[in-house]
Amino acid sequence: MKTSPPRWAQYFFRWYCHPAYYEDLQGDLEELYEERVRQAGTRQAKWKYMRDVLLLFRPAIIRPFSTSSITNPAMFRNYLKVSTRNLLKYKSYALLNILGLAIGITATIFLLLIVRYEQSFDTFHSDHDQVYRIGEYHEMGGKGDVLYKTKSPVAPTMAEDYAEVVAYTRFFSPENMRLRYQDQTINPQVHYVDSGFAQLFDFGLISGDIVYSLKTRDQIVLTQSTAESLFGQEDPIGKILGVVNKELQFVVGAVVADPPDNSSLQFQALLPWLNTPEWLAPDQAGDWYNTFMEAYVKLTPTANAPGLEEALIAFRDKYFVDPEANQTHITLLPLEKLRGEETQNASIMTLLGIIAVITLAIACVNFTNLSTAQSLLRSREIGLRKSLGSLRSQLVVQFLAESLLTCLLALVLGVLLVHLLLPWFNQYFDLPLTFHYWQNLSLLLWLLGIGIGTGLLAGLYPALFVSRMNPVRSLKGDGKHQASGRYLQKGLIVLQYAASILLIAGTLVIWRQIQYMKNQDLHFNKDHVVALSLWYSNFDFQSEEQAISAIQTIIPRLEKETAITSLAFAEKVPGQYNYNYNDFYDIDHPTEPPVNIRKTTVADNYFKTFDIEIVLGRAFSPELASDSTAVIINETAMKQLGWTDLEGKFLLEGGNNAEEEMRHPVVGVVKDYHYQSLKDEIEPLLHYYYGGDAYYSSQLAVRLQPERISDGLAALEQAYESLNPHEPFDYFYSFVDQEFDQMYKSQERLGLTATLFAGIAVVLASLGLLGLASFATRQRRKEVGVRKVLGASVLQIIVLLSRNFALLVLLAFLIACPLVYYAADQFLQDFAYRAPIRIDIFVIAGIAAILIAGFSVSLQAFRAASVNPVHSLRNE
Amino acid sequence: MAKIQLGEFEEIVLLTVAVLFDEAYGVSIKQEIEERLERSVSVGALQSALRRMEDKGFLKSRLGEATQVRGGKRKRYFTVTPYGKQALTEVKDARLRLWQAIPKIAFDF
Repeated sequence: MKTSPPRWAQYFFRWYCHPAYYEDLQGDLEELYEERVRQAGTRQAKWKYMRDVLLLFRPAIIRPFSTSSITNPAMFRNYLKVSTRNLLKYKSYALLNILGLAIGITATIFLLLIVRYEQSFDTFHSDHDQVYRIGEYHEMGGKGDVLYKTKSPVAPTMAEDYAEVVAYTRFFSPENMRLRYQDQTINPQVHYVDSGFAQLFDFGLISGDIVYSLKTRDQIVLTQSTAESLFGQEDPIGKILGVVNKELQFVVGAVVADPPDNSSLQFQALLPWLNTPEWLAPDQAGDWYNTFMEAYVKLTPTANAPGLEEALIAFRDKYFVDPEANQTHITLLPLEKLRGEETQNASIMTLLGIIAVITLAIACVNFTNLSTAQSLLRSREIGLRKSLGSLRSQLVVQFLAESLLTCLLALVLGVLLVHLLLPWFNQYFDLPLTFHYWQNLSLLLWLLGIGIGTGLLAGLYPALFVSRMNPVRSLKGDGKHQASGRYLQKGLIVLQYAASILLIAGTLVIWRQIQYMKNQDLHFNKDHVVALSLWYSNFDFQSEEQAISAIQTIIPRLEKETAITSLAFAEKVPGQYNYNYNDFYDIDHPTEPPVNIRKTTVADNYFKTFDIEIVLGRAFSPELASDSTAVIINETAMKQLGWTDLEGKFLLEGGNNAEEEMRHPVVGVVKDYHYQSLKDEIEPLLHYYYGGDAYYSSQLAVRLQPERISDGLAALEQAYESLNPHEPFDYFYSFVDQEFDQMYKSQERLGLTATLFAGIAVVLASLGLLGLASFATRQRRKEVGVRKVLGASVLQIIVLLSRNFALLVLLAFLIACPLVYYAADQFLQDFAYRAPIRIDIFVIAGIAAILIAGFSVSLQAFRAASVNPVHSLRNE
Repeated sequence: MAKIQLGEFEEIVLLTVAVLFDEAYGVSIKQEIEERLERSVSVGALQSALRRMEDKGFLKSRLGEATQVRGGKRKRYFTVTPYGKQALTEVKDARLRLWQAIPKIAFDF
């Protein structure tokens, strides 16, 4: 019986042996083997054969791996040439493919830049992880709410009582302050801060001594741009600034850099706490009762903030005077979380992140699908290469390298697009984004990883399946996808379309909610009302009293104007009410728990000016002296108080001492009007009365005749200019309806972003489908020809070719529906007043997806169906 | 001219190829050396010496005709080149010079 040497040794030898030596060496080995079998038997021969193979593994015999064809320059050039030719031959597909992925990558970079920018807030302070904002968590009827403000003495007392607190500062800007240097005046945002400010935050000292300045009563710290606008190139340190309408002077002690865009704390000048106005004193508003102060503490590096929060319960019990204080907890919010809490955009950022991932996924899927489909066109090339002696491994490497290179090309293009579009994007979305490679290194590495992954995935199918094809078949050009490849492609199409439908529907939900909020009856008339700020330091007078009496003189003048329907002073107009709350007790039931009511102050004619309906009782009357302490509440407040009428009803305002507790007769109830964004529910609200035509600081609300808007504005401007203001009229007036709609700006921006990216996603998905459909119809060219010869109509053929794709889109729709509902429901949770999720959202999104898909598929189908069968059947 | 380098094993292989003249291929060279010098030769050592000396130009090779034996694989026949002969001569002369330089008394035991 003939035996043969061990198989593995043969394979091993064939693998490593130099091809030029293989034949004669293998011959020698076999001759020796047979000789040995005769002489010493099979076992010995086999053993010796193995030994010889192992001993032949020497440099002189081993094949030169370094000159294998993959890295052989000539072969490599050939691969490159063939790849380029392929890209150029199918220009539109190449463009679809590369541009599609590039757009996906650009979109992802943009979205992640936004997210990164939001996360970068307040992280530039060197000790930012030790700094916390003090907040108060109030529990009310089972519902909890955090307000990131506290009482004025909390921060300094904490620093005294707890060793973990190493420094603190309050950050408070109660009023505008007009500063004067020689004949120049400016109106900076001035904040009072404690001397610990410099220990908590570093904004970058330009000159002077900030630590000393913040401890010294008559000193002021300016930001660089404020200093430059006052002093130009002169050295600001030591210059003396006056305050308009006040007998105050400050010496510039230090200049700090302007707070960057990604700082939550924005200011133009800092004053030491010692200068705070009298009403902030601990025995007045700055007591243990009023919560309005923005305050920060810095803890030791090892301190445990949640532990300190626990300990602060005792602190609260010791100091807080509010009888309901046991429902209040002092909270410490890490500084880097402040931005997310203040803008409440954490969910929006998550949404943007999800959109980024979906867009990138769609782009990658697209790339994979198109490359896979296109690889079939190259079955002839593969057949030719194989019959000329190319190894399968070489084909695998060729395909993988090719798709990797295409992918990297797309990546580079995507990054270039970011640079190109960034200025436009920033302007459009009002963002200060920058794109530096070194700052986004991890992002770029991620994208590189994703690019390589996509390249490998896209190259894997042709590399593994197409390269396996029999050369005879592939040379005939009838390459067909393996079933596995078709399932992969179909699955990816379904995924893409499901994502597209989700994005289309999501966009619809967002816009519908914005429209809903804008069109909802607010129960007050915000149209044609101008709010004008009459802030006395805007006018040059000797004292506050003089300024106020001068401002009062313009009221009778304005009332005479025919273009003005009515006007009223107010603390704030609807949409801008302060976050000012207090507890109120029903005087008939003083032992009942109080109602926490938001408060604002209005003057005569306020309800008339805004068309706010009084449902019970009456409006304030200037004739009744008793009305000076009267209040008007809204329906929600009345409901919470459990009242049905106003007969002899009085509210007792909570306070830290009996003197402050005042009895307020309730004279009227107004209809619940939306004084804030419809995102938030209407809370109990109370209006104080500032009687007579006395000047009340802040706003003047003026209702104009709808057809005489410009006349009314001109009259207002004239009256305003007669006071010799520092700032132009434009600076201080605004239309209430426009300001109100501004509250939906962040939602609109989100809607805009979602629309943009949904558009990109849909276009990408359609391009992918278009590419696939055209490949699929190309493959069925002959079938179509035969069908036409046998009498099929164009329409029948279109239906035949489109049916499969229509089914896929339908499947995608079914998958997307529950996702859409869940996502919409989650998004709407943020809004107190929601537009209902109606069935038409699904229908519109589904029909849009099917139409887009149908259009791109049937276009291809029509083209295939209208070809003369002679052309498709000509060659076999 | 650079001195020709020829190792002891290489010299033996080269000489054996010359001895076998037209019949020198892997297996025959191995058997010839084993018979004449009574030492065993591994295929690996022999083949790497042969290829190395072919690269150096001491040997040249041609492939024979395919036959039914050894799985139809052709034999590679080696022959010594003139340069190979020169190398052998130089080594032999060097040895000879050394022999002649030995004083009689040295081997007079």
